[in-house]
Amino acid sequence: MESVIYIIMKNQKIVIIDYGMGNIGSIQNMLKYLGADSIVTSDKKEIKNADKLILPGVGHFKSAMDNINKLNISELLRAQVLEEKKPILGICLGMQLMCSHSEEGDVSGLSLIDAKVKKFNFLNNEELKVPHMGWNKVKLLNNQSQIFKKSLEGSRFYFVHSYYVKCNNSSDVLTKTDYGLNFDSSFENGNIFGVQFHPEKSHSYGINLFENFLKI
Amino acid sequence: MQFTRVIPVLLLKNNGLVKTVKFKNSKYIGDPINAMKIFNTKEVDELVILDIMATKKKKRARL
Repeated sequence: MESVIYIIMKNQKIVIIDYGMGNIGSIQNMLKYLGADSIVTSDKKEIKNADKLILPGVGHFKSAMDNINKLNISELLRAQVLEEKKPILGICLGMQLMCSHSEEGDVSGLSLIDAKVKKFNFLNNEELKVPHMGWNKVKLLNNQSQIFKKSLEGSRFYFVHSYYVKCNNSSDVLTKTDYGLNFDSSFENGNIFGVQFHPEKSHSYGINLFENFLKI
Repeated sequence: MQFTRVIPVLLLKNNGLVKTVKFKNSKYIGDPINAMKIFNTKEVDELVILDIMATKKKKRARL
């Protein structure tokens, strides 16, 4: 059984999309730890040949979208995800980029999922700092999920963000996290996955999530 | 919900971890990779590693 899993991990092409922003090294290291090879690229041919896509990202929403548009890959990404139904995992800003619109720079995203990105606003509460940074718990709302298989009892993930995602369809919401308000900390819709936290910085809980993504 | 983050700070000097008194009289206390492995197994929230020779040697950050 172990070797079968190893072959599954090994014989798939994971493409981490490189648009000049993001902490790609730690993601690649975790995939390597799980026995999966990945390549970091923005090459259209490689994206077309990929089995699975990972959209990383740290930084400003508008700069990220500008970079993606400069690379001219947004239509390709949409086709790969919406038509070819390739599994895609968006992490942090990557998750936000999959939404239809962000308050950060007031621009449109890739519109892979019906959701908007909003800014945390805690002017009346000095205890809550922005960015939301550190470990936090997630509450699972969908028990049919493909990336959250184990019981999440006690699971915690590492967050760093000033903006949060608000899904328009409650059925897309995978987990919620409490930070001043109950925001959508991850979504799942068929082959489309997005997580606000950083699984690559979340120890065994993050490894487990990557493992499930690789097994899809 | 907010969680307290416990963040050990390790001082790095010439590839070894040290304990100092006001950054002087440094005592070697162990190998950094081994120390990080231990803290990782113990699921520490975050780790801060300070290269205390960086300014003296005018080194840039190695990420």
